[in-house]
Amino acid sequence: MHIPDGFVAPQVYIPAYLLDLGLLIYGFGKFKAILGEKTLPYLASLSVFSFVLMSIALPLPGGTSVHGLGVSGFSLLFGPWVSFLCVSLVLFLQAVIFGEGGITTFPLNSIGIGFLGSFCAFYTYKVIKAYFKDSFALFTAGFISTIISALFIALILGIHPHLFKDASGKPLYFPFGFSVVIPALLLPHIVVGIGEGLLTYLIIKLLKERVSRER
Amino acid sequence: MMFAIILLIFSFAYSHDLQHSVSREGACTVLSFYFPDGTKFSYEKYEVYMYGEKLPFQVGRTDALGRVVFCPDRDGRWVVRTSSEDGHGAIVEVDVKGRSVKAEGSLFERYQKVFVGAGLILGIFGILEIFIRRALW
Repeated sequence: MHIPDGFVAPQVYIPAYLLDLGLLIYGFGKFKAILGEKTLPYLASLSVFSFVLMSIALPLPGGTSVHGLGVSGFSLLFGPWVSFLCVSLVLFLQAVIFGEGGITTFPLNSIGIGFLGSFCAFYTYKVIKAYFKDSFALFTAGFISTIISALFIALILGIHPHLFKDASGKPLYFPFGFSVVIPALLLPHIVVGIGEGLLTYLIIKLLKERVSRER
Repeated sequence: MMFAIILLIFSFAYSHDLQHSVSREGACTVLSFYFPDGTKFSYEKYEVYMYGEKLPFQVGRTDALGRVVFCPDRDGRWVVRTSSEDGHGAIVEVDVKGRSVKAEGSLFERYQKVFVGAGLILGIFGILEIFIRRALW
């Protein structure tokens, strides 16, 4: 899902950097408030878990491959701001050290996967829980957050050939429009979403009581 | 002391991971086998099979540089098995298509990013832990 360098115009990633930096600075205040000797091992473990999930690509029929995110469980345990900050750290390391996702596109990945993923999971859970069983709300939170992140990335990429073309009409950055990129990203992420939903359920069932006791 | 023993055990485990790399030289495929510390897997037995076939296409011993060189007569998936008397070895599948040749990396190569990344993240949180403890003191 990570957008690599070269796919996004500076007119998009420079404002995204400013927005992301603002969000990260605000989020750091929330992160500091929660940081303690008892919470730190959980934050570290969940960050590593997210990193591992993002690093292991699972092949799908049709020649494509997908990876998990591990965002929604994190968000439901420690709140969306803390999850956003930790997942952004993971994405930053992936971009700078491992070349997975670009450095110029880091803020878009951070906003799409970290911010939208965390907040969608958090608020989807709150809304669904008011009407349905807890387990269904957990699954849906994981599923919806994955789909929304993928949709955001698809929209950012898909808008490029419409906005940025040379004189002959050839796309300057990402070449495929919405009709190609939205199904190409969303369909495989339905599988990821189901996995994320199940993982969210398992993580919360396993850790929620312990984390709330120790926070 | 226990920690040192565990590290020693892990260092041996690491040295047992036989690595490989693959390249194409003219019509032939070259597979090089070596250990992570650079030691070549020299003079060890190998067998080359076309995928699914029982009769080997080629048998022999790796050269002084730990290489297996075979010249496939057709495109497709080839299997190279190599082993030494002391239990080291590897089974590598090589996809040959025209002038291009591709082989799956070893488990270590495939997952070393994950190990390094996980270590880095734990290290960052470890440094945070030091700051928290200082603040508490």
